[in-house]
Amino acid sequence: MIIIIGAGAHGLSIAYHLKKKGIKDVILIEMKRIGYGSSSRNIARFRYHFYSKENVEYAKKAIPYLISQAKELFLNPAINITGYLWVLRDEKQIETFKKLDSFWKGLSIGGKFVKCKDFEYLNYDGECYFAPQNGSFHHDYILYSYYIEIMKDYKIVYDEATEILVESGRVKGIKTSSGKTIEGDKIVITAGAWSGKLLEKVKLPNYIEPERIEAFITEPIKYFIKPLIIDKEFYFSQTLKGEIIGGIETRIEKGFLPFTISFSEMVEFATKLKSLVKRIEGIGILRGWSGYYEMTPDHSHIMGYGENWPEGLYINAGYSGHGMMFAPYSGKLMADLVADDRKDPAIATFSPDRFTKYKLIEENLVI
Amino acid sequence: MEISTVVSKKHRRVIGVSYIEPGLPNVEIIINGKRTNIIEEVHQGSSLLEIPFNIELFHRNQFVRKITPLLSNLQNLPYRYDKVQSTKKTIEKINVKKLIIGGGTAGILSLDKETLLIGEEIIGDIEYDESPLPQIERNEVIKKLKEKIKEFENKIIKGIYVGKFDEGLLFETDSKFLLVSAENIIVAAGGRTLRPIFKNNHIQGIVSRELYLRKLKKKYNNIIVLGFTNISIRTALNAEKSTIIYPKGVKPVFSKYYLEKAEEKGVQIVEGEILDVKKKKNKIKVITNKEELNGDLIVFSTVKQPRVEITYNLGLPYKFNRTLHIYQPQDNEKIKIVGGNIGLSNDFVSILNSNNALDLNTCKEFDPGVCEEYIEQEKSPYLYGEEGMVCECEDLDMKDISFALKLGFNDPESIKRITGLGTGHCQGKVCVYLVGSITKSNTLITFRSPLYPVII
Repeated sequence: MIIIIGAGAHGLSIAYHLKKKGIKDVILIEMKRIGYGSSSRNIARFRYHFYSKENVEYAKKAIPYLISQAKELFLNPAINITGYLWVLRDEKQIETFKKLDSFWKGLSIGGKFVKCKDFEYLNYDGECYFAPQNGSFHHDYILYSYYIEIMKDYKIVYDEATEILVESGRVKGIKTSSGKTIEGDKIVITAGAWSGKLLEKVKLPNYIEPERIEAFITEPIKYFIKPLIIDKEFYFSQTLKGEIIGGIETRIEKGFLPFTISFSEMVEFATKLKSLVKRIEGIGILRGWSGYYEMTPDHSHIMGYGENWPEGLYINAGYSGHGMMFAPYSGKLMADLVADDRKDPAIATFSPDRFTKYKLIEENLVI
Repeated sequence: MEISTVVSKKHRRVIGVSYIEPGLPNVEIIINGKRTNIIEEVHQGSSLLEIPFNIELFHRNQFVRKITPLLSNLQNLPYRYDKVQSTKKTIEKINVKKLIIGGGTAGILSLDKETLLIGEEIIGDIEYDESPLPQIERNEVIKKLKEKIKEFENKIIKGIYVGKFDEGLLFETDSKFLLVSAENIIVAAGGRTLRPIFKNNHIQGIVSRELYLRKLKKKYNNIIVLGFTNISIRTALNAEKSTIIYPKGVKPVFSKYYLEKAEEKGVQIVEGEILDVKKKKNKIKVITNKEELNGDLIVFSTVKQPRVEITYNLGLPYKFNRTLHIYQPQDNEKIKIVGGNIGLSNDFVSILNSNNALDLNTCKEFDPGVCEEYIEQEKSPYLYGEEGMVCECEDLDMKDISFALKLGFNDPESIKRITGLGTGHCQGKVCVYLVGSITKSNTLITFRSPLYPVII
């Protein structure tokens, strides 16, 4: 029996790929509801443009896989190539992007420096950097497509996993908060920001820390802002439904803080947005919410298992702000590993052992 | 008075306006960049081409999937939002001992010296609903309410509850954003009626009880009322001539008192499935499985659904009432709920409740089903037919809901995730309750702050 803890994008993607292999005995444990963690709280964008080579290389496999899945998913993932646009406010930023540009060109994902005025709706006359390869999708439609495919075959238990049972170096199952014991010889932790807490239960270091972030969405307007736009202290994009969605980047609050929002941050987001974008002076903020970035020490994800881990225990979590876009591909690699013991080279790269071997994958472009 | 129409978002079909409450679908729209209240300023939308959109097509048609980004341009959306012509609102923080949210009968009666009341409307339905009340005189009640308003004049603010924020409870008034911290709260935000489901329920001339009583009563004499509760009769009693239709298979929940009043006035009460409605000049025709009924207007008055989005946003749980198919909030030590916000629809009962003098028998007699569920309603009282519009903002029909239902999703939250239900301008203040009732779900969706669009 394979137990998957957490029915978010990663847990469901693994389940989906296990089902494709014809695996029968899989059970998912979900604390709240499908996608309750980061999967239903993100802003649904994908990109190739990361700070670290490892993440760019990973994206070069993961993003085409996400796009190719569009055909086989039950619901319409609404994939749209839109680009990312960075607004460069000072010389220092321009210098940084010159370096990034040559780094990205070397990995054949080069973008270009443009005048911000080329995007006529922007109120800023300065330098911008445009990465045309990136885009958007609909996170719920990917998440629920996976769920629809597995819901008839795999059981989902709505309960919280509180303990991982280990005997003579092998996992045996889990205990839940309602007192149930579920037996399994393989356990995959895909509990997002909560994954670190589960590692602690088996005396492993907790590599994942939540950082609360707020997001806001405006009233809808005719679709006119194609790229995700990243300014110095905030970012935003427009959905195909017409809402402008985004948040403030500066404030980082660590820990499992409640999913509330603040008025001051809403005011700040609205004010910044309206000063940069034309035609929306009178637009209203329709809704706000908060979620967690799931942060590892180097802001890159952890997948696979560690050298000294109990046999049968796996993890796939800690994607900071880019978990949703990698979920389809990571689910495939993880299913190969868990079911067939097939180890893609990326599994070694992103293994939790990198923290003890000092092979960090510093990711400084967290969006 | 003319009834406004608008062009819908996805089908680009002409929809008749139904509501008057701020924040509900199509009360306020953007015309040439300008925010316009189309209840006050009549607007007629016209559509050159209707689009045969549906969620199944969107998800399952390979061609539609390929051109999805282009479809965005077909939506009827504003091109711009002009600056709202008013000075910037100030932000003010206040602390109060006791706060009342809502300015209707129950809210006003809860006022005392230590209390601040913030309400969107001061004195509610009772000022407009001329139907009789048991044991009390309506005019006497209004007089007393007005006296109390005068006495506590400086304790009453006109404003809307926008939602809970880290800094406090946010209210918006004409000139300010107020962030309120309160030791105790009384929620008296009342309830509302919701547009039921049947073929062509989107056409002009189908309005809520609240809009009818406030704006249309004088002009439209012959009405067809949709509903199965006392407030359906009470709506009918406001018109010169009226017929009430309750949905086939639904057990009506009328009080003896109102049944007698209906009989005295010659109000017909019939059961029926609505097969279609048609509008011809100033008349509207309802075709049921049994007969054809003609009137000037259809007024829906199914049941008063308490404003649970407010209580939920404040952190209170709710439960589904299987007799009335309403969601009722549950209070705690710090937050008390009174009047229409519990589900009470009768002012007499509500007054007793506000004075802590309500007993179960009186409640059962004059507001059946609210204090005690006594029958289980198998069928949703909103279902007059098998098709029709469900979500006005996101322009979703029963067909779209059925797509999600067939996949095995049977609660508003997961149906929202598949169809976009409740994610539009009103943020689910109507459709989420309808789908909750249709699926008999114990849970709704997460009603997040802000509850109304905030323009900063």
